Amino acid sequence: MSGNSTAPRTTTTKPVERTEVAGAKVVRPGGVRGSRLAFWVFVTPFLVGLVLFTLVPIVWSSGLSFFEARGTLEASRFVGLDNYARFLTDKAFTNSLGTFVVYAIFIVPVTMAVSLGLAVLVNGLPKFQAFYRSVLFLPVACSYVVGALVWKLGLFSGLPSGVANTFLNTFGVDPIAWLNSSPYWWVVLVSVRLWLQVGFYVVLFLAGLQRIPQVLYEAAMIDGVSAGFRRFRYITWPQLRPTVAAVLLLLLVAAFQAFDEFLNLVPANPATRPPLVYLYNVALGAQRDFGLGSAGALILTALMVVVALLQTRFFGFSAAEDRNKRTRKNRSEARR
Amino acid sequence: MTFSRSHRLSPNLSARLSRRTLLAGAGAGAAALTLASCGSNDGGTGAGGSGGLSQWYHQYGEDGVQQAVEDWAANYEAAEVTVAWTLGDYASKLSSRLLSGSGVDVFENNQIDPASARSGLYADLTDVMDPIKDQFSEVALKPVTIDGKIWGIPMITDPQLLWYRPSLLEAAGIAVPTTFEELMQAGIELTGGDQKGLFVGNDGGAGVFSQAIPVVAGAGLLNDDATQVTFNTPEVVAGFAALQAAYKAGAMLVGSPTDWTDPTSFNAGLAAITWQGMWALPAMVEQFGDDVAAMAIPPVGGSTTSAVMVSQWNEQVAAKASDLDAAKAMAKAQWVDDADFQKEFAVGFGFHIPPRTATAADTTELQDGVAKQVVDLTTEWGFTAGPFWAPAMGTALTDAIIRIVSENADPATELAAAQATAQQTLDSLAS
Repeated sequence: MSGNSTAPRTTTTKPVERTEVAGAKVVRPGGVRGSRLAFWVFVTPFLVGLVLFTLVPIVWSSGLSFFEARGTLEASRFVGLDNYARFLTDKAFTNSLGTFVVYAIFIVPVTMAVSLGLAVLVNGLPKFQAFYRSVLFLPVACSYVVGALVWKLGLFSGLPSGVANTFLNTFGVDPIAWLNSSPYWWVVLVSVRLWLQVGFYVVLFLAGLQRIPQVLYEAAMIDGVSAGFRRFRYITWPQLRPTVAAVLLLLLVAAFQAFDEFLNLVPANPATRPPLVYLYNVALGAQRDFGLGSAGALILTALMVVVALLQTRFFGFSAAEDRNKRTRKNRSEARR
Repeated sequence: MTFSRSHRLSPNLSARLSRRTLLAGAGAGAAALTLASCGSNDGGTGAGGSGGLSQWYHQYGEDGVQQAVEDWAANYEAAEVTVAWTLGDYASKLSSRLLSGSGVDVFENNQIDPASARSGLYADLTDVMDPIKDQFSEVALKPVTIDGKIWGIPMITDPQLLWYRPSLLEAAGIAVPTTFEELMQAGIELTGGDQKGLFVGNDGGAGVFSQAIPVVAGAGLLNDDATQVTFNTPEVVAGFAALQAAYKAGAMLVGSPTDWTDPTSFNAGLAAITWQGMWALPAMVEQFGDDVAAMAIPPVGGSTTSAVMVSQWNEQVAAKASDLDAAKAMAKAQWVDDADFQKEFAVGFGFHIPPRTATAADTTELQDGVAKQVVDLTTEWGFTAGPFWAPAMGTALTDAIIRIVSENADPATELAAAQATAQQTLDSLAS
């Protein structure tokens, strides 16, 4: 029992000694231990998930890309860079990149313009801003598959009874097989994604617009720029630049990752097969060529990283970069 | 000692311990959720691995099939069988399970591929099939035979061919087409008002005719030993040129809410001639009575070969089945020994042909009318591409036809390019 009586005493005195010696660290020892435990308790399950379901597959896939692996995830025969060469020289792949470019040319500027326009309109409303923001955001919650089916079976059905064909019929236009005729399929593909994603970018632009200091507009008014396009051009647009850069990058990435609506609306058409649908067919579809698919996944990832880096380089992301550029410019002018 | 310490805990320490307990609990919960999310909700984790067998089916459209297979499984006494009725993308889900090596013991498959057979995903069923293989047609055995071994037991044969309403042809004064060129011309002439002449899929026939036209042109897809791609001939080019002309003339129904596999568009009178599987026969007869007839895809370019395209579901056993012998015994009991069940499965719900000739001959529903006509056409002209016609080759050819049909591309150029791509794929499969 004597041991029992001394042990607690020892444990109570030690922190006191530490308190006297360590000063500010009085409370921290216990707290730091607790934080570490909490950190690992929270992080470990997700770290395990990240390692098991992301890092291991990436490493495995990288290795598999140098092997033949058809219908199996095990490497069967070393083929070196053959899978990469096959993927890059496949006309279907290069065509799919062309599809992405065409799609991005349509969807990126249209989404940007529409969402910015709507955001400016909503931001200028004296009342009901929250209502319109919610209404515009609602389609974002809709599944791409559901959206694609509504577009396919209802709005843009190729039958005369389809909504679009019925409307056109009032002007004497013959029914159009929207998903089978070029370039009409782009109308369907662009409009469905526009409906599904524009609300998200409206919200981003609204956040950007509401961060612009009111004092700038007041100063502009004093300088004679009261309202309209000049106010937008000289104040709103420059102040929105970080938001525009972010939206541009997100839109480009989203266009590159286009999959659901293409698979549901135009599953077999080579003219509207984006890179991810092509990759899906190779690796996860009927072909199940995991070696070739792994090489393709790495090529597409590298491609996207390069595009993102280039875009960041040319468009920048933050006002800080603008400031740095201005500083560099001023310095170079001062040197002259 | 512990007792005394627990009573000496300060309120702070107590709070810290309970916080730790809470954190640990939260962590354990998160870990459990993470692990739980690794599980599957596709019904595939049934009896497999726990002493019983897991049997996989794709979702059949006909009412009653699920109940029938579950009843059979429940009545099977040699093993406990759990049926995994799989919704959605069956091929991908099955492939994932076969690769993981668990959760599937016996399964149906309509796309047996050489790579999976050679990489050891399928069990060799040659010993099961050898005593009875003479009872199957060559067309039925072709999809299940790879490298001289038999990897599946044919379950049902699904012939796909052309269906038409004789009254519509008669009213238009058109005879039943005997060549592919006549068929396309009939499609053009039968188009008018809300009715199109032909419904051969929403892609304008690219999918269904990609294999059929090379066959009826006498070229085929591959040579006999599956070493050469053979479809690029002038006769095949002529066939696709005729298809292109009919599409340009507006004879095709495209953009229908349902594709050719569903007879709704044909039954609604949107097309006079349609490509369809035999499974839709009951629905078409219900709609039109005797005013439905079938014809094989007629020859093109001076050929004398017609075709009925045959797809087939086959019962297979996973090489990594939890109990391989029990799984093979079950597959044999159901798809070799139980002829009554095979007949019920073929014609009890939808309309298919039992692949065993004796069973088909013994199925009364197939002995008269248009059903008998289809069985006879299938026996005479049945064609299946076989396991060496890989999906990548099919994609190359279908892409070419879509460009020919909907983008007016030159058939000769497109077919030459498709043949080169397909040959490259075939060579890579052989290496």
